Amino acid sequence: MTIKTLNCGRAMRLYLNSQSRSNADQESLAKHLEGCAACRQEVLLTQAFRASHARRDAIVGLKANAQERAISAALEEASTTEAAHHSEAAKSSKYGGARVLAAAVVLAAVAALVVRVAWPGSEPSTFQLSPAAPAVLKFAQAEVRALSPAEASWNSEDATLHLKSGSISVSVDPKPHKKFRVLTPRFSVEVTGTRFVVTSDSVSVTEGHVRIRAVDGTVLAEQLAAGGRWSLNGTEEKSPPPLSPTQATISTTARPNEATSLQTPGASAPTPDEMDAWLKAAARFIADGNAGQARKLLERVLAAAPTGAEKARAQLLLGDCARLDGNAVGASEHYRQSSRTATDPSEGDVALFSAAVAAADAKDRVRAKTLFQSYLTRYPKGTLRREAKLRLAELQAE
Amino acid sequence: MKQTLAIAPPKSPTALDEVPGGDALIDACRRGERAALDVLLRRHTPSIERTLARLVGHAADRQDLLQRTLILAVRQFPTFRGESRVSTWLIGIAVNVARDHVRSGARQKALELLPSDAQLAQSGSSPEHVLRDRQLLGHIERHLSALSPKKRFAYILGVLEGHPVEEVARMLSVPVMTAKSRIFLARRELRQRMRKDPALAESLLESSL
Repeated sequence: MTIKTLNCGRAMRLYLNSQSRSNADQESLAKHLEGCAACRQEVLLTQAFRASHARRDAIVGLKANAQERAISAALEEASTTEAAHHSEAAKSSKYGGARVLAAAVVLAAVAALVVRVAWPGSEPSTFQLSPAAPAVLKFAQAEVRALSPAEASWNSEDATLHLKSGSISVSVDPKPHKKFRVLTPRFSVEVTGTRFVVTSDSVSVTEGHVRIRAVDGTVLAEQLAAGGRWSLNGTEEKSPPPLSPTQATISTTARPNEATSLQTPGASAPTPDEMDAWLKAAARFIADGNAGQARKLLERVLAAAPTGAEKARAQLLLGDCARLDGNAVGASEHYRQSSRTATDPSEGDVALFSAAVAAADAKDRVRAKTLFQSYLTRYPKGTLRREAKLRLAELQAE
Repeated sequence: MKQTLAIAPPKSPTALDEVPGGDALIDACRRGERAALDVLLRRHTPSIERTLARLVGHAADRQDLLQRTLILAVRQFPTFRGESRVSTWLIGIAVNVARDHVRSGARQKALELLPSDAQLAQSGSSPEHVLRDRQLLGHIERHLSALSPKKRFAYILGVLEGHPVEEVARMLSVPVMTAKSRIFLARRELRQRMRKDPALAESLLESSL
């Protein structure tokens, strides 16, 4: 190891930029600090500032419930914005002169969407959707995304989306006594709470169930359930039987660019790529707030003889599912199991810290303290060590 | 008196951006999906809160500032282009909120931002320690408060929080060279101040802080 002689500027740059510091740099820096009173003084001052702030955080940092209140207020804002969009959409449709309905309901991605007023008067506006634009249209309790270039219009009075051409993915929030309908030129789909894909001649259901009628009102499919597919040419596929780890067919078509189709023929075990795809699909379900679907996938991963790393990822995501369900105790346990099996230190680092935070959220102070202490012992240079020290100090001060 | 110095400043908190499903989560946040925002805000709130505390002190209205930051983040998420890490972007919003707070003259005097005697006492220290801690904390806060807000923000983000200078520049919405220069000027000014107060750092290391 070569120990270089450093000037003050280089020494302080090395001190302040720990990420690009090698062992040789470390030695050179230590040597410089031994002999340079000015740099030594600056290092001392920097450390003093950091220690001072850490101490003050531990004493007067905002408690978890204060942070919780701030988060709730922000999420309330998110809901209000969403509600405002809905109300604006309804208003726009009610007054015939307002023909920019689509523009009103598209969130901030409006620029990415081509909006066109098709005809005047009281008829609803027609708009075009493109899968290239990651926009989501919100109509009452439904979210609509394009899977191929589509043309549609919305009538708020009977909660009906008229799909003229193209294919869309629809996700409907279940609300009692509120129906939502997608009308195509040849059939209509009635739903109360589900997720499905509609093209001009077929329907695939990924969640919940739907009823399909012909334009004259005849029922074409009484109840098409999750996993089922119906098409105009007469094929109706029933929901597949529960999937075993070795016979899996999963289709998540809720997002145009997130379509995942995994097939494992015969009795062969899933490949690492397939396991990776399952985990990613589960992460997407979590991002959508759908803990139930994510959990099903993750349980499948755990049942399919996963590697240590896959098991750790699955447990980490199961922890996220439990968090979404408001089950902090369960989340803490899953995160802890993830940290035990993680082979990648950075994943174990996050998992163990999350386990401690979840335990603190569950008001289990003893467990939280133990887990924070374990974190600091196991990852003394962990990226979350400062947070862990602060949270531990806060717990000890309570 | 010579001491062995621990020379490992904190790393920038990158891990929070690298958790599984991060990209999908951010996409969902852009679409304004509440569940995704909930998960993401929970991950980042502790670091946002800590940064705000560094920038404006432990003011009583810190919770309002945190709330304002999170609300702005929710409103502005659709415009997040992913050119920086989401943590950098969120801290950038917190910096703007803190800057407005400071500009409005709401920043209190340094000593008013310190923990009260009662709060220090609650931490389990003896009365002598409480007094000594209070004096030392007052000393430190005065040095930082003496810097101009621009230099202080750059110093706090770049040196005390350990963010790389490129990220500091993004957080402050200034060119990289400007961020570098502000950090350098802040360090130089503090160094000069230290020369006039050489006992401070040594005594701090010996204290319980």
